[in-house]
Amino acid sequence: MKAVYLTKHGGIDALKFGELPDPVPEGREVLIRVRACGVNYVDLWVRGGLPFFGPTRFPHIPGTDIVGEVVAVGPAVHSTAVGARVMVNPGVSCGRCPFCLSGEDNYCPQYQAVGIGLHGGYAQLVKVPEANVVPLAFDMAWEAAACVPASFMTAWAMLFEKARLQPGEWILIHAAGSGVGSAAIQLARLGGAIVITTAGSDEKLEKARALGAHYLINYMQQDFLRAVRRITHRRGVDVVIDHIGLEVWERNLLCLVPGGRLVTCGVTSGYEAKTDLRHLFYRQLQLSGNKLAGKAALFRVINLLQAGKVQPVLDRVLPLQEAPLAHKILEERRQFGKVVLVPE
Amino acid sequence: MKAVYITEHGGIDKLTYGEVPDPVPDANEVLVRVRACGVNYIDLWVRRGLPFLRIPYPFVLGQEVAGEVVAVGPAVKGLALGTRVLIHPGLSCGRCEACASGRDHHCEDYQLLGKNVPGGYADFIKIPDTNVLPLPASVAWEAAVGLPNSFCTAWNMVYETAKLQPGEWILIHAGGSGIGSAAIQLAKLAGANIITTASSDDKLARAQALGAQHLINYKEHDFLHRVRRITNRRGVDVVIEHIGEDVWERSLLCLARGGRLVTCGATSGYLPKLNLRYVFFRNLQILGVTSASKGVLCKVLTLLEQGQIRPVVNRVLPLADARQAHQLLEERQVFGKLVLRPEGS
Repeated sequence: MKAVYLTKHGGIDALKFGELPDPVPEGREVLIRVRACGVNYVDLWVRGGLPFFGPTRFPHIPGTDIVGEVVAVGPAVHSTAVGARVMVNPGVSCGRCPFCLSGEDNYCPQYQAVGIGLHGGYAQLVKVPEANVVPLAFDMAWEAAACVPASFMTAWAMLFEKARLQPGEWILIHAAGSGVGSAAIQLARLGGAIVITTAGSDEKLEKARALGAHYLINYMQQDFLRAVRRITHRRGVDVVIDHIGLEVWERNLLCLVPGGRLVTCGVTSGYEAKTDLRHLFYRQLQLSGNKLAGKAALFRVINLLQAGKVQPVLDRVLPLQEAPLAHKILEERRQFGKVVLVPE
Repeated sequence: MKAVYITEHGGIDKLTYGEVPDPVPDANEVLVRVRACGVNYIDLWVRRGLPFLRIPYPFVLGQEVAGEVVAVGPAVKGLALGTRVLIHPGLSCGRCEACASGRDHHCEDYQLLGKNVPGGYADFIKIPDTNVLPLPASVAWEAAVGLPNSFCTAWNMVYETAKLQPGEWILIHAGGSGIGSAAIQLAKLAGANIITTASSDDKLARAQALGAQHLINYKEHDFLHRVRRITNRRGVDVVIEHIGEDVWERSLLCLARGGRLVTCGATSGYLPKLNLRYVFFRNLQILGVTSASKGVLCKVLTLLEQGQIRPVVNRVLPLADARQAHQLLEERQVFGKLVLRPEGS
C-alpha cells in the first residue's frame, strides 16, 4: 500500500511517501480502507519526538483521525463486517484494568493511540482492534467526518469532564483556529456558556464568531489578559481552555476568578511553566491536564454531529502525499479547523 | 485589653505582648471574650509579610478563635450574652455570586481573621454575627479551635476538591502538621488507604494512631521511592500537600494517572518547576485551596461532637508566650496544634 511514514524522528523532511506492506488483520482486528485522515498537532510531536511518547519502532505511520470502510476482518471479529462505513476511536487500551473498566481507558497504563504509539491513517490501509471501530451510520462526507475524533473528543473531555462547565459561566478558549479550539467553541456554546476566544487574525475571528463565540480577541493586536478583564468588567472567567503553554500560562492564571479552572491538553510554546503556588492556593485555582478522552466521549460527539448541533470544521483537503505541506500549515498556524489528507 | 500584635513585619521579635484598645462592636458585630486561639503557619506568614498584604498597625494575629459573647451591636438578634461560640475566620461580602452559591471563600472581598482583619491573639475580638457558630458545652475550647483552619481546610482539600473515594490511595505530607493530622482523620473516615510522611518516628507513631496505615520518615527515606514501593508502583490517587518546592516534582511523580494534587501552602518555596507535558499526558489535576466555605465548619463541628474526629492539641500556652509558639512551629517541633489562652480565661 501507499503510505506516509517516518523512518526516524525529525523535521518535515522526515515524512516519506512510499510503499509499505499491507497490514493483515488478526484475531479481533479490523482492516480499514482509509478514505480520509485528519492531521493533528500531535502528529508534529510524533514526527519530532518527545521523551516517553510516540512510536518506539520504525517505520511508523502517523495519523489519528481516521474514517473509511471495513475491507477485511480477523477471525474473531463479530460486531462489524466488510463494507461498513466506520470512524476509528483512537485510544487502544488493555480493556481489563480498573481504569478501562471505569470508563477512563485513556488513563490505562497500556494506553496507546492510533497514529501515536500504533500505526495510523496516513496510508491506504490501517488495522485497528474491533473495539475501536464505531459505525458511521449517517450521511456525512469522509473529509468532514475525519475532522472529528481527536479534536472533538479532547474538547469534550476538557469542557465537560475536567472543567465541568455550567450554563452561564464565562469561558476563555485559546486559539479559535485550532482543532480543539474550534470544537470547544461549539461545545461551550451548546453548553450555555459565554464564550471568549482568541486568534491571530480578524479573518479567523470572524469564523470563530460564526461557530458561536460571543467575544473575540486578536492576540496579535491586544494583550488577551487586558481584553478579558475589559470584556468581563474585571470579573475574570470561570474556565480557560489552553494548549499554548508557556507563552500564555501566567496570564491565563490571572484571567481566572477565584475557584476558576484551567484545563490544558498540550503546549505549542514551551512546557516549563512558572506557577506561583501562592496565587494557586489563595485564589483556589484548579489546573487540570487532559490527554484525549475515554472512548465514550466519541459516542457523545457523534450524537451531536448526527443531530446537527455541532459541525466539523474543515480547513482544506490535501492528497496524502502532501502530508509535509499539511505539517507546514499547522506549524505556521495558517489553518482554521482541520487539514485532512485523502489517499488516492 | 492585653494582646499580641505586630507593628511591622519581621522575625519572632516583632511579636509584642502588651496593651491595645478594646474593640468596640459595630451594629452587626459581636464582641467575644477569647478563651482559646489556635496558632497556624499562616500567622508566621502574616508576621513575616506577604506581597499585596496591607494591614493596619498595631495588628493582632490569630485565626482560630473560640470564646463567649460579651456584647452585641444593636442590629444583632437572637444571640444571648454568655453564649459559647466558635468563630468562622472568613469574612465575605454576602451578596456576590460566589457568596450566594455557598462559596463565600471564593468571594473577591474575602478577608481572613488574623490576616486581613485583627485576630484572636487577644483578650477580646469583634466579629460580624454571621461568623459565630454556637458551641455545645461538651466541646472543650482547645479542641474547638482546632477546627476553623486545619479541619475546614483539610475537609475542603480531601472531600470537596480531591473528591476522595473509599479504597483510593492518598499521600498526606507532614502528618504532624495541623492540616496533615486533620487530613489523616478525614481520609480514614472516608475509607481511603493512607500514606503519610513526617520527620521523626515519634511523629509517625502518632500519625499511625490517627489512622495512617503507611508511614514514611522523610529524613531517612526518599518519599517517592517509598510511595512506589508501598503501592507496587501504581502511585496514589491523591496527594495533600502544603510544602511547595521541596516536594513538588516528586509529589507529581507519586500520582497515578488521573491523580489529583491538592495544595494549600508552600512553606519551602512557591515557584516550583511544573512540566506541563507530564500534567496533560498523565491527566493530572493540580488544585489550589485556601480555607473553606462557612458551611464546612458546621459539618466538622458535628463530627467533633459525635467523636468521629479529634483535633490534636500539642499544648496550651499562655497568650504572653506567643513568641515561643512561633518558635516551635518554625522549627517543626510540634505534632498537632499549639493553642494560646489569654490570662484569666
